[in-house]
Amino acid sequence: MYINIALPKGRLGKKTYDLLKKIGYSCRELEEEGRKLVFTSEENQVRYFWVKPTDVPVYVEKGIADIGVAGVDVLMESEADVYDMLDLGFGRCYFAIAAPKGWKYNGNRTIKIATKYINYSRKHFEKVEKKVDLIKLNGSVELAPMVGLSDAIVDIVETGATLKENNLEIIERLEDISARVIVNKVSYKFKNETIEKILEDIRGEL
Amino acid sequence: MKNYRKEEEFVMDFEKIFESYGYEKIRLNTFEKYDTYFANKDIISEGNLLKIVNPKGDLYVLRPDMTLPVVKYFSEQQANRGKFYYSDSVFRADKNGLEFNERKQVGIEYLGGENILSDVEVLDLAVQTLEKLDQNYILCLSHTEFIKEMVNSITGEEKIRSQILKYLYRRSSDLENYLKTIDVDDVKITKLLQLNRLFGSFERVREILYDMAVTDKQKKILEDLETILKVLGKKYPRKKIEMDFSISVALQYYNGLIFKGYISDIKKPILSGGRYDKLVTRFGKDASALGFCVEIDNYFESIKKEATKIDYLLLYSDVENGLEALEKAREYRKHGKTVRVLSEDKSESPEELKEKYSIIQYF
Repeated sequence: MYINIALPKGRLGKKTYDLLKKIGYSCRELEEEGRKLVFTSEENQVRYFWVKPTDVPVYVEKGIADIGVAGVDVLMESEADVYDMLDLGFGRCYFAIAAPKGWKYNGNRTIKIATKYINYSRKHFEKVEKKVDLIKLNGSVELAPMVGLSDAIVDIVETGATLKENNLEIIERLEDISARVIVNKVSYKFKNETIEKILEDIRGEL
Repeated sequence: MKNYRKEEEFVMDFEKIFESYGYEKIRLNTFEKYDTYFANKDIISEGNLLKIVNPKGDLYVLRPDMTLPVVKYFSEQQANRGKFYYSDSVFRADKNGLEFNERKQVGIEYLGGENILSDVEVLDLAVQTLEKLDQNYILCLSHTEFIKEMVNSITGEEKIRSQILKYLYRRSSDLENYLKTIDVDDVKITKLLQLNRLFGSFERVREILYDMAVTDKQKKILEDLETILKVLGKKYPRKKIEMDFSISVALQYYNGLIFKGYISDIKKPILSGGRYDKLVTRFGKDASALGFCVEIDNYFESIKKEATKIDYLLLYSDVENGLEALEKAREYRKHGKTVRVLSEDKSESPEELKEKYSIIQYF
């Protein structure tokens, strides 16, 4: 029985593949340079999908992939109904609200928030019962307060260097983020032994 | 294209099974008073209801499930026991409230069952239903009261409880850290982590289960479950029924056994059910209640079953030949064949036609 794995393109995906290779899921096809997006190793009974990081939860939720790797940020934004079974410990950063230095939230005014993480932000501000206008951006979110597009931003922060360079400071630190192994809920039941073994072996390598 | 004929045949097969156990077919109103749902909004989420206003301004909803209408119907009857089955549509809006859809459900409700034998019967029917859909099935069992006892022993705070349940629903690796930050003692943490990871047949996880059980209530739950599964084990392969406490977060609605059925080709639960005595009590009747429904659309949307072919296609070039074709068609039909007569055209390729018809003849 094949196991199907969705990996995010980029550093996180490569790091995860190295880990999977160590526990016996190498795939020669994947290591050869090329433009392919699906790689199969008959020998190790594994198929890899190389997809955009934000699409990993979709592939796993719909069961195209049995397991996948995604950051907590991607997971929370996608709201995918999957198992979140293993913290890989890498790709650490955190969600934060940031605003220009000296900015003060005054009273009940609706604040404008620019973010890539619309769903996550909506949920957060609903929870704390603050009125916000959310503005969806696809990148360079730090620019928004500088040019008057928004009052503040919600974004992920690794070192805080980018914020500093753009004269922003953290107002509130929110959820911690790290890379997770996610599992399709139905695959988990039908391929239980294989999946549990993979998780166990990865834990052993961490 | 969806094979509607095949769908009907499946539904009829299910109905035959339910009828053989003495279940009565029931057909209920599509519209229900909004108040009925609103009054029970603590156990039924009313966010995804489709609402309709009549000319007088009264608010109605299109039923989002079949259970509540069945319970309401039952509560208006004299009898203290009832076995019903239905095959009808339910209507729901999606979680953002922007789209809505109609879904077909087939299911049963067993009201007023006295003891665990009613659990046995309903689970037995659930397994038979799954078998009919696909030999490669799994039925997962959980128990709301077992989980509640465990979570309630940790805290009285509703917010924390619901957070723990959310983690259990995702088998989340964050559970351990979360429990540590709220100062739960190590013994309880170990037990909850066991619950979070547990999966397997009752026999396989038996020891862990009894080890997790602290209260007498939990022990009784496990003993009952074991009895039920022993009876079912005589009839079905044990590997097909698994314990899995991650199958539901809707613990307000159910009180007791809950279960979900899966088949390997479909990545969504195809069958779900459980015990919901509390709902019956709300409608003024003191009776046990257990049921399940099959999401028949999930099955037919995902499975690409071969469409049933029509036996003959008779193609004619002009009216005169057409008459001859009609004559021939009549003869074939007499022999019980299915025949379609059409004029020749190029809109479909010969390959496409071969997929739809067993034999093609030209006139």
